[in-house]
Amino acid sequence: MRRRKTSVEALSHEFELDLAPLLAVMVKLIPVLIVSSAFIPIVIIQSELPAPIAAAITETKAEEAPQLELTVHPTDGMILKLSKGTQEVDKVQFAFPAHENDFSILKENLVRMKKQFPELFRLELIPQGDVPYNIIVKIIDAARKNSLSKEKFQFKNTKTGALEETDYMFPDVVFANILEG
Amino acid sequence: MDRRARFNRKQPTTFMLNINSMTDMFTIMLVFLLQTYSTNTFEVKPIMGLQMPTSVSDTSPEEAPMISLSKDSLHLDDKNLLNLKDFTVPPDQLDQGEIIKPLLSALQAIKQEKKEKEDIILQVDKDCPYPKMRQVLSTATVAGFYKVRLATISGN
Repeated sequence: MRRRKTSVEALSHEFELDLAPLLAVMVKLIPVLIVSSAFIPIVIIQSELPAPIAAAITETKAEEAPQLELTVHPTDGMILKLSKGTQEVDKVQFAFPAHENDFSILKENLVRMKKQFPELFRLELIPQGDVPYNIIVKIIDAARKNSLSKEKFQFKNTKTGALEETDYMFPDVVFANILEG
Repeated sequence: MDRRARFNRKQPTTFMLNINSMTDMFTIMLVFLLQTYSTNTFEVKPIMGLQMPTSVSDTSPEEAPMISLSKDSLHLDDKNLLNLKDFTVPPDQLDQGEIIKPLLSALQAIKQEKKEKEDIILQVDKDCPYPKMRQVLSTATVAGFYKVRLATISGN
Protein backbone atom coordinates (compact mmCIF):
# COMPACT_ATOMS: atom_id res chain seq x y z
CA MET A 1 0.00 0.00 0.00
CA ARG A 2 2.76 2.34 0.96
CA ARG A 3 4.77 1.41 -2.13
CA ARG A 4 1.86 2.13 -4.46
CA LYS A 5 1.34 5.56 -2.97
CA THR A 6 5.00 6.49 -3.54
CA SER A 7 4.92 5.55 -7.24
CA VAL A 8 1.76 7.66 -7.83
CA GLU A 9 3.44 10.58 -6.10
CA ALA A 10 6.52 10.22 -8.30
CA LEU A 11 4.45 10.24 -11.48
CA SER A 12 2.52 13.36 -10.62
CA HIS A 13 5.63 15.29 -9.67
CA GLU A 14 5.99 18.57 -11.59
CA PHE A 15 9.28 20.18 -12.45
CA GLU A 16 10.32 23.63 -13.70
CA LEU A 17 12.25 23.61 -16.99
CA ASP A 18 15.11 26.07 -16.88
CA LEU A 19 14.66 28.22 -19.99
CA ALA A 20 17.29 30.79 -19.06
CA PRO A 21 20.12 29.30 -21.23
CA LEU A 22 17.75 29.04 -24.21
CA LEU A 23 16.75 32.63 -23.73
CA ALA A 24 20.39 33.69 -23.48
CA VAL A 25 21.13 32.05 -26.86
CA MET A 26 18.12 33.75 -28.44
CA VAL A 27 19.05 37.15 -27.07
CA LYS A 28 22.47 36.78 -28.75
CA LEU A 29 21.07 35.38 -32.02
CA ILE A 30 18.35 37.95 -32.58
CA PRO A 31 20.59 41.07 -32.93
CA VAL A 32 22.84 39.16 -35.37
CA LEU A 33 19.83 38.18 -37.47
CA ILE A 34 18.31 41.66 -37.36
CA VAL A 35 21.54 43.13 -38.74
CA SER A 36 21.82 40.59 -41.58
CA SER A 37 18.14 40.46 -42.53
CA ALA A 38 16.85 41.86 -45.81
CA PHE A 39 13.36 43.07 -45.00
CA ILE A 40 12.90 44.33 -48.57
CA PRO A 41 14.47 41.71 -50.87
CA ILE A 42 16.11 43.44 -53.82
CA VAL A 43 16.70 41.53 -57.05
CA ILE A 44 18.21 42.58 -60.35
CA ILE A 45 17.25 42.31 -64.01
CA GLN A 46 20.22 41.77 -66.25
CA SER A 47 20.28 43.71 -69.45
CA GLU A 48 22.86 44.78 -71.96
CA LEU A 49 23.51 48.07 -73.62
CA PRO A 50 24.63 48.04 -77.24
CA ALA A 51 28.40 47.91 -77.13
CA PRO A 52 29.60 49.58 -80.35
CA ILE A 53 32.68 47.39 -80.83
CA ALA A 54 31.01 44.10 -79.98
CA ALA A 55 28.08 45.03 -82.19
CA ALA A 56 30.37 45.74 -85.14
CA ILE A 57 32.09 42.37 -84.73
CA THR A 58 28.91 40.34 -84.51
CA GLU A 59 26.98 42.35 -87.10
CA THR A 60 28.34 40.41 -90.04
CA LYS A 61 27.85 37.04 -88.30
CA ALA A 62 24.30 37.84 -87.30
CA GLU A 63 23.08 39.01 -90.69
CA GLU A 64 20.88 35.97 -91.19
CA ALA A 65 19.98 35.46 -87.53
CA PRO A 66 16.37 36.08 -86.47
CA GLN A 67 15.73 39.34 -84.66
CA LEU A 68 12.84 40.41 -82.47
CA GLU A 69 12.08 44.08 -81.87
CA LEU A 70 9.51 45.58 -79.54
CA THR A 71 8.69 49.25 -79.92
CA VAL A 72 6.73 50.73 -77.03
CA HIS A 73 4.96 54.09 -77.16
CA PRO A 74 2.44 55.30 -74.56
CA THR A 75 0.02 56.67 -77.21
CA ASP A 76 0.88 54.78 -80.41
CA GLY A 77 0.90 51.39 -78.68
CA MET A 78 3.28 48.48 -79.13
CA ILE A 79 4.79 47.05 -82.31
CA LEU A 80 6.35 43.61 -82.19
CA LYS A 81 8.42 42.80 -85.25
CA LEU A 82 10.14 39.50 -86.03
CA SER A 83 12.60 39.52 -88.89
CA LYS A 84 15.28 37.32 -90.38
CA GLY A 85 18.06 39.18 -92.13
CA THR A 86 16.34 41.90 -94.15
CA GLN A 87 13.11 39.92 -94.48
CA GLU A 88 10.19 40.68 -92.16
CA VAL A 89 8.70 37.39 -90.89
CA ASP A 90 5.94 38.61 -88.59
CA LYS A 91 4.64 41.94 -87.36
CA VAL A 92 1.85 42.81 -84.96
CA GLN A 93 0.64 46.11 -83.52
CA PHE A 94 -1.57 46.46 -80.46
CA ALA A 95 -2.63 49.09 -77.92
CA PHE A 96 -0.60 50.15 -74.90
CA PRO A 97 -2.02 48.30 -71.88
CA ALA A 98 -4.70 50.22 -69.97
CA HIS A 99 -3.53 48.70 -66.69
CA GLU A 100 0.11 48.33 -65.71
CA ASN A 101 -0.30 44.59 -65.02
CA ASP A 102 -2.32 43.75 -68.14
CA PHE A 103 0.22 42.42 -70.62
CA SER A 104 -1.76 39.40 -71.83
CA ILE A 105 -1.78 40.48 -75.53
CA LEU A 106 1.96 41.08 -75.46
CA LYS A 107 2.56 37.71 -73.77
CA GLU A 108 0.38 35.85 -76.33
CA ASN A 109 2.29 37.39 -79.22
CA LEU A 110 5.66 36.74 -77.62
CA VAL A 111 4.75 33.07 -77.15
CA ARG A 112 3.63 32.88 -80.80
CA MET A 113 6.91 34.38 -82.02
CA LYS A 114 9.00 32.23 -79.69
CA LYS A 115 7.40 29.13 -81.26
CA GLN A 116 8.60 30.30 -84.69
CA PHE A 117 12.22 30.67 -83.54
CA PRO A 118 12.80 28.72 -80.29
CA GLU A 119 16.56 29.38 -80.50
CA LEU A 120 16.00 33.13 -80.28
CA PHE A 121 16.44 34.46 -76.72
CA ARG A 122 17.13 38.14 -77.37
CA LEU A 123 14.55 40.92 -77.45
CA GLU A 124 15.49 44.38 -78.65
CA LEU A 125 13.45 46.84 -76.66
CA ILE A 126 12.81 50.29 -78.12
CA PRO A 127 10.87 52.45 -75.63
CA GLN A 128 9.68 55.72 -77.15
CA GLY A 129 8.03 58.76 -75.63
CA ASP A 130 7.58 59.07 -71.88
CA VAL A 131 7.18 55.39 -71.07
CA PRO A 132 7.54 55.02 -67.27
CA TYR A 133 10.34 52.80 -66.00
CA ASN A 134 7.77 50.70 -64.13
CA ILE A 135 6.19 49.66 -67.44
CA ILE A 136 9.60 48.80 -68.92
CA VAL A 137 10.26 46.45 -65.98
CA LYS A 138 6.84 44.81 -66.45
CA ILE A 139 7.57 44.29 -70.18
CA ILE A 140 10.95 42.71 -69.38
CA ASP A 141 9.18 40.43 -66.86
CA ALA A 142 6.54 39.48 -69.44
CA ALA A 143 9.21 38.64 -72.01
CA ARG A 144 11.42 36.62 -69.70
CA LYS A 145 9.22 33.57 -69.05
CA ASN A 146 6.04 32.05 -70.41
CA SER A 147 3.60 32.88 -67.61
CA LEU A 148 0.42 32.20 -69.66
CA SER A 149 0.75 28.43 -69.67
CA LYS A 150 3.09 25.68 -68.57
CA GLU A 151 4.06 25.07 -72.17
CA LYS A 152 7.81 24.74 -72.72
CA PHE A 153 9.87 25.51 -75.78
CA GLN A 154 12.25 23.04 -77.37
CA PHE A 155 15.53 24.33 -78.66
CA LYS A 156 18.73 22.77 -79.93
CA ASN A 157 21.70 23.11 -77.61
CA THR A 158 24.49 24.45 -79.81
CA LYS A 159 27.20 22.80 -77.70
CA THR A 160 25.78 19.29 -77.29
CA GLY A 161 23.42 19.23 -80.26
CA ALA A 162 20.69 17.76 -78.06
CA LEU A 163 17.13 19.04 -77.85
CA GLU A 164 16.37 20.81 -74.60
CA GLU A 165 13.24 22.28 -73.03
CA THR A 166 12.87 25.62 -71.33
CA ASP A 167 10.13 27.97 -70.16
CA TYR A 168 12.36 30.97 -70.78
CA MET A 169 11.35 33.04 -73.80
CA PHE A 170 13.43 36.21 -74.14
CA PRO A 171 15.55 36.65 -70.99
CA ASP A 172 18.16 38.69 -72.89
CA VAL A 173 16.66 42.17 -73.26
CA VAL A 174 18.72 44.88 -74.94
CA PHE A 175 17.87 48.58 -74.94
CA ALA A 176 18.28 49.18 -78.65
CA ASN A 177 17.85 52.94 -78.86
CA ILE A 178 20.63 54.09 -76.55
CA LEU A 179 22.77 56.92 -77.95
CA GLU A 180 20.14 57.75 -80.56
CA GLY A 181 19.20 61.06 -78.98
CA MET B 1 3.08 45.06 18.84
CA ASP B 2 1.39 42.62 16.56
CA ARG B 3 1.79 45.06 13.69
CA ARG B 4 5.50 45.52 14.35
CA ALA B 5 6.08 41.80 14.44
CA ARG B 6 4.40 41.44 11.07
CA PHE B 7 6.63 44.20 9.63
CA ASN B 8 9.80 42.63 10.93
CA ARG B 9 8.94 39.22 9.49
CA LYS B 10 11.55 38.24 6.93
CA GLN B 11 10.41 38.83 3.35
CA PRO B 12 11.61 36.31 0.72
CA THR B 13 14.60 37.84 -1.13
CA THR B 14 14.41 35.72 -4.33
CA PHE B 15 11.52 35.17 -6.67
CA MET B 16 10.94 33.07 -9.79
CA LEU B 17 10.44 35.06 -12.97
CA ASN B 18 8.18 33.32 -15.46
CA ILE B 19 10.00 33.60 -18.79
CA ASN B 20 7.79 31.22 -20.76
CA SER B 21 5.92 33.95 -22.63
CA MET B 22 9.18 35.77 -23.36
CA THR B 23 10.67 32.57 -24.81
CA ASP B 24 7.57 32.16 -26.99
CA MET B 25 7.98 35.69 -28.30
CA PHE B 26 11.67 35.19 -29.04
CA THR B 27 10.95 31.90 -30.85
CA ILE B 28 8.45 33.65 -33.16
CA MET B 29 10.94 36.46 -33.80
CA LEU B 30 13.72 33.98 -34.50
CA VAL B 31 11.63 32.13 -37.12
CA PHE B 32 10.67 35.41 -38.81
CA LEU B 33 14.26 36.65 -38.86
CA LEU B 34 15.56 33.34 -40.23
CA GLN B 35 13.10 33.67 -43.11
CA THR B 36 14.32 37.15 -43.98
CA TYR B 37 17.99 36.30 -43.42
CA SER B 38 20.05 37.39 -46.38
CA THR B 39 23.23 35.63 -47.47
CA ASN B 40 23.97 38.11 -50.25
CA THR B 41 27.49 39.45 -50.27
CA PHE B 42 26.34 42.76 -51.71
CA GLU B 43 23.49 44.86 -50.44
CA VAL B 44 21.62 47.43 -52.51
CA LYS B 45 20.70 50.34 -50.28
CA PRO B 46 17.76 52.35 -51.65
CA ILE B 47 18.24 56.10 -51.39
CA MET B 48 15.72 58.42 -49.74
CA GLY B 49 12.64 59.23 -51.80
CA LEU B 50 13.26 56.54 -54.42
CA GLN B 51 10.53 53.97 -55.06
CA MET B 52 11.76 50.95 -56.98
CA PRO B 53 9.44 48.93 -59.23
CA THR B 54 8.65 45.28 -58.47
CA SER B 55 9.83 42.39 -60.61
CA VAL B 56 9.51 38.61 -60.66
CA SER B 57 13.24 38.23 -61.30
CA ASP B 58 15.15 36.02 -58.86
CA THR B 59 18.73 37.10 -59.55
CA SER B 60 20.64 38.43 -56.57
CA PRO B 61 22.73 41.57 -56.96
CA GLU B 62 26.50 41.37 -57.21
CA GLU B 63 28.98 44.06 -56.35
CA ALA B 64 29.20 46.81 -58.96
CA PRO B 65 29.10 50.61 -59.07
CA MET B 66 25.55 51.75 -58.40
CA ILE B 67 23.81 54.70 -60.06
CA SER B 68 20.64 55.92 -58.32
CA LEU B 69 18.22 58.16 -60.18
CA SER B 70 15.44 59.63 -58.10
CA LYS B 71 13.06 62.52 -58.69
CA ASP B 72 15.41 65.03 -57.08
CA SER B 73 18.93 63.59 -57.19
CA LEU B 74 21.48 61.56 -59.12
CA HIS B 75 23.84 59.46 -57.01
CA LEU B 76 26.83 57.30 -57.84
CA ASP B 77 27.22 54.87 -54.93
CA ASP B 78 26.87 57.13 -51.86
CA LYS B 79 27.99 60.33 -53.59
CA ASN B 80 25.39 62.87 -54.69
CA LEU B 81 26.45 64.02 -58.18
CA LEU B 82 23.54 66.27 -59.08
CA ASN B 83 20.37 67.76 -57.67
CA LEU B 84 17.52 67.29 -60.12
CA LYS B 85 14.07 68.76 -60.55
CA ASP B 86 11.52 66.13 -61.54
CA PHE B 87 14.21 63.81 -63.02
CA THR B 88 15.50 66.64 -65.22
CA VAL B 89 19.24 67.21 -65.45
CA PRO B 90 20.17 70.93 -65.74
CA PRO B 91 21.02 71.68 -69.41
CA ASP B 92 24.49 73.01 -68.55
CA GLN B 93 25.36 69.57 -67.13
CA LEU B 94 24.51 67.80 -70.39
CA ASP B 95 26.79 67.11 -73.32
CA GLN B 96 25.05 66.78 -76.72
CA GLY B 97 21.75 66.75 -74.85
CA GLU B 98 22.24 63.14 -73.75
CA ILE B 99 25.48 62.61 -71.79
CA ILE B 100 25.50 63.67 -68.13
CA LYS B 101 28.91 65.30 -67.62
CA PRO B 102 29.47 64.72 -63.84
CA LEU B 103 28.32 61.11 -64.14
CA LEU B 104 30.57 60.48 -67.14
CA SER B 105 33.68 61.78 -65.38
CA ALA B 106 32.87 59.79 -62.21
CA LEU B 107 32.29 56.59 -64.22
CA GLN B 108 35.46 57.11 -66.26
CA ALA B 109 37.43 57.43 -63.01
CA ILE B 110 36.04 54.04 -61.88
CA LYS B 111 36.75 52.54 -65.31
CA GLN B 112 40.39 53.66 -65.13
CA GLU B 113 40.80 51.75 -61.86
CA LYS B 114 38.98 48.61 -63.01
CA LYS B 115 39.32 48.39 -66.78
CA GLU B 116 37.75 44.93 -67.14
CA LYS B 117 34.62 45.95 -65.23
CA GLU B 118 31.55 46.36 -67.46
CA ASP B 119 28.74 45.89 -64.93
CA ILE B 120 26.72 48.66 -63.39
CA ILE B 121 23.70 48.58 -61.08
CA LEU B 122 20.96 51.03 -61.93
CA GLN B 123 18.45 52.04 -59.30
CA VAL B 124 15.71 54.15 -60.84
CA ASP B 125 12.42 55.49 -59.47
CA LYS B 126 9.44 53.60 -60.90
CA ASP B 127 7.83 56.79 -62.26
CA CYS B 128 10.92 57.94 -64.14
CA PRO B 129 10.15 58.55 -67.84
CA TYR B 130 12.37 56.59 -70.25
CA PRO B 131 14.08 59.63 -71.91
CA LYS B 132 15.49 60.65 -68.51
CA MET B 133 16.65 57.12 -67.80
CA ARG B 134 18.15 56.89 -71.29
CA GLN B 135 20.50 59.78 -70.47
CA VAL B 136 21.96 57.68 -67.66
CA LEU B 137 22.16 54.57 -69.88
CA SER B 138 23.84 56.52 -72.68
CA THR B 139 26.37 57.97 -70.24
CA ALA B 140 27.15 54.49 -68.91
CA THR B 141 27.64 53.18 -72.46
CA VAL B 142 30.01 56.02 -73.34
CA ALA B 143 31.98 55.34 -70.14
CA GLY B 144 32.32 51.65 -71.14
CA PHE B 145 29.74 50.03 -68.85
CA TYR B 146 27.67 47.86 -71.18
CA LYS B 147 26.10 45.41 -68.73
CA VAL B 148 23.34 47.11 -66.81
CA ARG B 149 21.65 45.51 -63.80
CA LEU B 150 18.27 47.05 -63.05
CA ALA B 151 17.58 46.95 -59.31
CA THR B 152 13.99 46.06 -58.43
CA ILE B 153 12.03 44.84 -55.43
CA SER B 154 11.21 41.15 -55.53
CA GLY B 155 7.51 40.43 -55.85
CA ASN B 156 4.49 40.52 -58.14
